[in-house]
Amino acid sequence: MTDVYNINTSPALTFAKLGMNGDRISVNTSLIKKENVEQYIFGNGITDTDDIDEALPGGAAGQDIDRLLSTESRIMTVKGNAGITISFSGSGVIRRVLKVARGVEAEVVEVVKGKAPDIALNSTSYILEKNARLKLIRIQMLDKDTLYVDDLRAKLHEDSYLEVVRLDLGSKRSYIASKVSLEGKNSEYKAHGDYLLNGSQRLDINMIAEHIAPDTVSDMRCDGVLLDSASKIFRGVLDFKSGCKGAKGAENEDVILLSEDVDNQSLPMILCGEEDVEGNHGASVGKISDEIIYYLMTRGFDEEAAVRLIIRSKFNNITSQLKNSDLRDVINRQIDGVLS
Amino acid sequence: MTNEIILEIKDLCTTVGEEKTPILRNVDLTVGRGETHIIMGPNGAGKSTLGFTVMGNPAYEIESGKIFFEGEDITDLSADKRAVKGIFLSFQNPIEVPGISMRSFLKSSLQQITGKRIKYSEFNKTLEEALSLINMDPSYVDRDVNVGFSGGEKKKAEILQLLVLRPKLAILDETDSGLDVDAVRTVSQGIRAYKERYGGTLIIITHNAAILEALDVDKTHVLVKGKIVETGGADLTDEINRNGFEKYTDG
Repeated sequence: MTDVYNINTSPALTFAKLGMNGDRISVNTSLIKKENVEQYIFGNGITDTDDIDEALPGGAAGQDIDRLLSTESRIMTVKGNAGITISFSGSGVIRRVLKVARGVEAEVVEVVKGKAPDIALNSTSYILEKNARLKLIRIQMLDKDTLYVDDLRAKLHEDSYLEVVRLDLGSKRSYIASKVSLEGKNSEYKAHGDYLLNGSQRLDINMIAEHIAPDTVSDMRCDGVLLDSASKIFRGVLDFKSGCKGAKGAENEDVILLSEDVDNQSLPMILCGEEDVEGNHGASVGKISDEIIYYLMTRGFDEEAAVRLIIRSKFNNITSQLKNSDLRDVINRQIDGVLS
Repeated sequence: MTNEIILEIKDLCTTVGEEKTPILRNVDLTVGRGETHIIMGPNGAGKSTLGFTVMGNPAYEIESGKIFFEGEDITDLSADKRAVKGIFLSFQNPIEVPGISMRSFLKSSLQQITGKRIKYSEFNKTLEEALSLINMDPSYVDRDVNVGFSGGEKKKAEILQLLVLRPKLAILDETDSGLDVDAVRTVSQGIRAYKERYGGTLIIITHNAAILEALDVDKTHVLVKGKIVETGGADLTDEINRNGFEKYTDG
């Protein structure tokens, strides 16, 4: 049975005629099957338990999307570095809670791949206890027929640190919904997402940093390249709640447009319920400068190769963080495939 | 030095911008293989434009005239094709390329120019040799191209590229500007090595006599308001350093 769901609705609405307040998706829930999604864990850093717990409430994707999720999630405990592959073979929903215990420092690399034309929904709640530090690298390489919903929620306790690095390359339509609640004093959140979209790919981003405790810090950055008739909307929200004195938040994006037919929308937002805060946003949107292309051409690169090199170098900031050279090669091949 | 002509510019006129502001006016210049030519002139004379025009910068429109390299008309060739033919331009303001290391960039550039795949061992040998010639810390090549480099480091990095790519003709656009005395000496060593080891030909755009001390200058050209108003030998460089450009600009 096909239902329509609101998704990525902005927490504060702007003029409706701009079409930026949110989106709607149609999902045939009868196609969603448990066996269509599998999770593989590599390394000893994560313990997958049979325990069940409730995920964090209120994700950035919105309440409608919660209806697609069961209320219970498997709990996974992060004790050290690990890799996770989530593979879709049809419409599927996966919901997990990953807990990073007090004082633990870890890096988790997640790869999302496979194919799900109707929906691939990946919902993860990260709970970082006091002094925990987690770096999450998430690479999305789904088949280009896929509709993907990436629902990331996080709760940060005192002095904890969450860094999210993501690279979105695949799927036909992607919704990135991310809500990080900085509940503990001095907790810090840093996000850097890159995307490369071509053909008629669409990416819809709704990222929220919710500053609740004093002296919390957030820094969200979203950079990407649009080709052909690809489209993207970035909603970035710094939400300073009453009582978060001394909190600092920043959001930035840098978008390269390589075609006249691309559609790029940005909706940066700063919500202030507290006076003693600092919030900044900035955006840079444009073509690759003629100056840099010319410089590369004087070093023997033809114009096409120069553009390819600049774009590849943009993504090197993320791929260079991957220790797995096979994964790095797969990503580079996929990027080259788009640019060739 | 031989008499073989490597670069010949004939009656070159260029403009810039939509309003077609004239920059170079009927410039003639002939450079023999292995020679060192100096281009001097007051600010705004068109010295950098000359370098950019020889290197095929599309921002400058050639209204008339021709450029020949090794006897071949390259007037309409793009910058990358000129690089492949053996022309190199050292930028006055080198561009930053984030996300790619100087090592990787140089290897790719060398492959583009030579059209051959270069083995890592072979490339590393070339790179180490070039680094030692200009006393450059090897850690620089693992940093992103020119990103976070000081002005002096950027200029040294251009000379590093010169020594790795080993072009037939190098145009150095104020490579010495903004450098301290020691850095000028180092850069000068690199330029000399390029000329002596690899038989390079040089066109040096400069305001500074210090960079020329280690080089045998064949010709000096004075460019004023887009025209070459005088050509002489090394002694002309000395004279200009003493007396400036007044006699060319007055009236």
